[in-house]
Amino acid sequence: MKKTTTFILTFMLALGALAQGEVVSKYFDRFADNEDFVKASISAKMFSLFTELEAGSDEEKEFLKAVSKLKGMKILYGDSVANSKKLYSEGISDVKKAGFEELMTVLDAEENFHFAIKEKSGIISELILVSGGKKGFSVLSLYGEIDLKNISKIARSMQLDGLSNLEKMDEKKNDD
Amino acid sequence: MRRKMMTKKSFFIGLILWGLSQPLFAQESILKDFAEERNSSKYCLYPSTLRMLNLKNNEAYNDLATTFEKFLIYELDSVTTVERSYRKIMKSYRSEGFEEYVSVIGGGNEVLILGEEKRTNEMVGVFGQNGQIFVFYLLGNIAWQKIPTLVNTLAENDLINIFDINTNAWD
Repeated sequence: MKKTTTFILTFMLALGALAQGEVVSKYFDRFADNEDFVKASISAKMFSLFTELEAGSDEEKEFLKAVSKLKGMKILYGDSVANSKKLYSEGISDVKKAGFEELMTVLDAEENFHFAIKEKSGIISELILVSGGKKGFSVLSLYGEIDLKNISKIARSMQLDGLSNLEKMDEKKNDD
Repeated sequence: MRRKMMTKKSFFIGLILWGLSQPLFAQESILKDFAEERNSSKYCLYPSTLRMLNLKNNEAYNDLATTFEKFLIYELDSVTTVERSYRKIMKSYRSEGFEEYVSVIGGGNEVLILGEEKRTNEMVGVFGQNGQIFVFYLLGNIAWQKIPTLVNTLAENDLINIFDINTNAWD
């Protein structure tokens, strides 16, 4: 009985790990042969290398602390996409279908951003950002153990423009 | 009788040494066998040659260079670049237990880095941009912790760019 329970738990955990980044993976498959889209992924192995780095400044220490709990990142983006608005709407719909909870939406004249998370027992296991503009479209997934306070720091260090919009959440809180 | 025992012992020790060295040679040879016949340029770098590129004698660079045992870089020829047959080689490494670190594909770029740390501290990968494809094989216990210092201290023109050397002028 104990063996069966352990097996089922292990199996479920493995499935959970496989499921991470699945929304972006779907777009990776869809645009696999399309050179207009850049598909990038950073694995847990790479993030584990970051933890070996010697931090010099306080900013570097904060960055390394923030990435140490991440397990992976996947990004798909294209800056010259014909049907970007349609893709953006599809992206939001896919994120909802996959059981993500909306965190924040930023509507801008140039580009819209939709942030969503997967959370269990107060721990965010995946953050998804879908963005779409007049010509551009991107989907980004960050998974592992995520602390939202640190994400904008990672975004700044890695020059991920869209994610820096999360700083607006803090600004909004301060205004309230 | 004693001679026979000695021969057996030597054979046994030889077999163990051969077995231990197998992962190293086997992993390198996958890329080497493929790229030796399909390259337009080849660079084979060792700690001493890597240090020779260090014009300003940057300490962090030298520290890092000593951790490299061997660094092979091939620029693939145009036929192989178009055929993309190097992707099959990367698949072979995956089946040998190499794990993916980073991959970027699309928009005229192609980057793939695979690593095998548990047994042999090896890395292989692909770097491609604007129709040029480089594949590499790296052996060594790389001191990753030195990289931030290197990035912070290395200035432009501190190193000789080996890809800028015009080897045609030597003919």
